[in-house]
Amino acid sequence: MIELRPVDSWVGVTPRPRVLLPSHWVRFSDGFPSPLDHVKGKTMKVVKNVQVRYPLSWTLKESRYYDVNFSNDDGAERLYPESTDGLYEVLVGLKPGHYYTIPYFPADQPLYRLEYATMVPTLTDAKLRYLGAVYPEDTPPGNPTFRMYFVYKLKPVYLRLIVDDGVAHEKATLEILVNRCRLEEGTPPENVVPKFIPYLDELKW
Amino acid sequence: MPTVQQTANTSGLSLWTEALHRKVQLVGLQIDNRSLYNEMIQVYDCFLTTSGRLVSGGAAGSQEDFDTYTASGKIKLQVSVPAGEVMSLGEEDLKEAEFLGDGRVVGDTTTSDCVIVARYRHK
Repeated sequence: MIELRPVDSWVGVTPRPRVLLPSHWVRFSDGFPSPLDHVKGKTMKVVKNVQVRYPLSWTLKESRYYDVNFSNDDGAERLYPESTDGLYEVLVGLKPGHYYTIPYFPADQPLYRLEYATMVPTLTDAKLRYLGAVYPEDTPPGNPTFRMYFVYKLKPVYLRLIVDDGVAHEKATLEILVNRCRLEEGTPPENVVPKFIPYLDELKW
Repeated sequence: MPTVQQTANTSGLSLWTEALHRKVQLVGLQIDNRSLYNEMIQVYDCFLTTSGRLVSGGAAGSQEDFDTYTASGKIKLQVSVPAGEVMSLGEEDLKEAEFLGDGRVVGDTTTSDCVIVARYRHK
């Protein structure tokens, strides 16, 4: 049999912006709890945005971890909006190093887990400590793939920075880009598919 | 790239101060020992750590201080240069010489006849 296959080609490729921009639409899940009624189930348009860089670093000893709290609580990093019409799209790039991260929401509840009851990130277990880990090579500073969406009154999101065994000391640096968006509720045009933003608890299944 | 010159000193002299969100990669080190004595040169990495918590159980860790004085730092490079000799280390030799904090250079004798030139890059 001879199969004549066309040379691979792409047509009609449309560049896609990496971040939310004005006139983009977002739709928040119905899964947002009651204190977040200002976004729960709503479809909104980005009316303006500004991008703000904010690097953060911690130097940690071997076999230590540090919890980065992104909320506006006392002692936290204060990367949440302070208004009901605000949405912060936060891109996190990790500079190269011998460390990894595990996201938690809220504290002590890891986002990434498997169905079997014990398959939850557990730092005291030699194998489970790497379950759900996000490594610097997964989200480099030049092309961050790890992003979070913060709204007013969202419970704290944590990113646990962990320096592994066998690494005397390491400096973990987060290259953070906060895409501050102002939202306005509305109905998108028919040909527009809004970006769906689930509540973080919906990722834990 | 930044270049800094110091002389051998037993108390330790600064090569660079820590850039908070960057590490330092040493890319060149030249030691010209015109003194009458052999000189051992050490480059220290001086920094403070965040306390954090222990992976084994979550108890609070303690901050480590490698910055109180030069000798409290961590030695990241040590070379011995005989009297009258010049030693040059290039990027390939220093490929893994990475510093988290301040860089300081110490000699085992204090003399202005031993000149150390360091080239480094932030990353």
